[in-house]
Amino acid sequence: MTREEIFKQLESIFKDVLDLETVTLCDSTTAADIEEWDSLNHVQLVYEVEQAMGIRFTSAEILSWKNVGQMVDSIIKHRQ
Amino acid sequence: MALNSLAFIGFFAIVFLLYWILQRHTRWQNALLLTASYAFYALCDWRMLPIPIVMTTAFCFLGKRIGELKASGADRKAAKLTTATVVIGLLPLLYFKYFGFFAQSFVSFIGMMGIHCSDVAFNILLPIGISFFTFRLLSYAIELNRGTIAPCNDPIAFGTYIAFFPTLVAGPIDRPQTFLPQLQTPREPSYDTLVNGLKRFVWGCFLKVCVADQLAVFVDNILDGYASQNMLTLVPATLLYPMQLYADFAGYSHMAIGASAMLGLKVAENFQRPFFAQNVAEYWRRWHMSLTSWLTDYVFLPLNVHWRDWRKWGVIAACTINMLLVGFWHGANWTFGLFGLYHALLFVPLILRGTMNKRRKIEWRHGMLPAATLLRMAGTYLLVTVGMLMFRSASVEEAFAIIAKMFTIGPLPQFDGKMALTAGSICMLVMWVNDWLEERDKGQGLLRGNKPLSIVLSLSVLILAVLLLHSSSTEVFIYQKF
Repeated sequence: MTREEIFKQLESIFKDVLDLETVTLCDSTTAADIEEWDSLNHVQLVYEVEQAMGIRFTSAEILSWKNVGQMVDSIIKHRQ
Repeated sequence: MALNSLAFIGFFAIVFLLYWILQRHTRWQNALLLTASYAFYALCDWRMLPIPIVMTTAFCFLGKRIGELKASGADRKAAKLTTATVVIGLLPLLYFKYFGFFAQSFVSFIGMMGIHCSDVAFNILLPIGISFFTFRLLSYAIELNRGTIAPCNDPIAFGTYIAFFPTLVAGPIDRPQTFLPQLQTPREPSYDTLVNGLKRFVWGCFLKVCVADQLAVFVDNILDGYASQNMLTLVPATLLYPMQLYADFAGYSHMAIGASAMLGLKVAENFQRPFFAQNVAEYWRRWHMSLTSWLTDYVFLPLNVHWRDWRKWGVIAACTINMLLVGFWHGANWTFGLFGLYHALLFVPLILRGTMNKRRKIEWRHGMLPAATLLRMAGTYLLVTVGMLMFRSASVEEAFAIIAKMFTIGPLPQFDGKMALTAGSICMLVMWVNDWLEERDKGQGLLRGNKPLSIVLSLSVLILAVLLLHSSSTEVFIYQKF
């Protein structure tokens, strides 16, 4: 799965979980850029990403992400 | 030394003048702030001054070590040292604030099982501001471990962050990633920051003296003497208590934020018009925000992440622990535990319906609130009021006794403080108008004008009201004892 494909899949998950009509993600996207993305939704997002990708992040990893790019880095690391 | 006392105003004026004389000498400015902060603490209670100094020194060294371990890639060792540092940081808080309570509860518990101890008294003095500076220290260690900040190599700046005198006694609880960088850069005085800081300070003083202290005369009179009262006085006193507490704590926060702004420093906001909340979750996003966001980041979120497979039940479990901590943070008493548990229960339907974090936007109609919004606000206020009754009561039995008394009917009982109640109610209306305008106009309240004449006039009116209603017997802020 390429980085671009991961972003496409993440956009679909973000739309479902955050109930958005459209969303465009990039490496630097943070919770501050999307009003509906808060601490509670964040955990739901993580859960859905884990289910969709068939991976399991560590708690420390999840709490250390500063933007979507770092989340994607973790996904790539776990899928290798 | 309360922030609304003449002693504090004199103290602040001296620091303010020296501070801006030292402009462009950042390190000297910080040294002055640190000296002033420790002097302020000593003036409040000199016997306890070694506690913040020792804890700050310990965290300075431990933080440096955590940073070194992170930099060398030894993440596990850094995590272990962070855990140890957090435990060390919590020990004084647990001892001074909770040891007597838990020991007394244990003695009562074994007494119920037939094992009787001789009466034990635990008179442990609580160091001023310990809940606040401990949380600042803990967030420094946790953020270092998360890699969001680098260790602070300037012990004077670090000490100032922990003990910064306007926020030392009752917050707001600032985070290292927003406050420490401000102490490491030069500060310039500007007309806007000085004037806005002064406005916030005077407005906070008005809330404390003219609203909180005036309402307190009636509320304390009725609720402390609840045995001789009935529905006619207990219901209004109970309904006014959230207003008193809000004016008291928001008043303090405005003064702390205003004094900091006059020193060119921005500290965290603590309130965002909490009584405009349309459910309890929204209320907690608007009330004592620096504490709730602290607990969300360091307690709720890690627990929620850990229990994410339990879905909504994981959220409920994390939320219950979080709210119990919110309750017990306020003090060592089962009333605070009950207060936390009550709020956790109020969250359950919101979590199950998936509306806990849904933000309802207020649709203003010609500057007014729609009826449905007003009803939701009123419902939330009533729920919050019940919780605050537990919060205020000396014991769980007293809280239930007051609730029971609220259903007794009789002639209007005698009570003192009618003048204070009248003055407090008028000033409360001014507070409501300000909050209404701020909510509607996105932060622009009664003191929105920036022309010198309007500033002088509005501040003069507020200061006159404060001078007329000020009484030296009511200087203490409610949150100072937490």
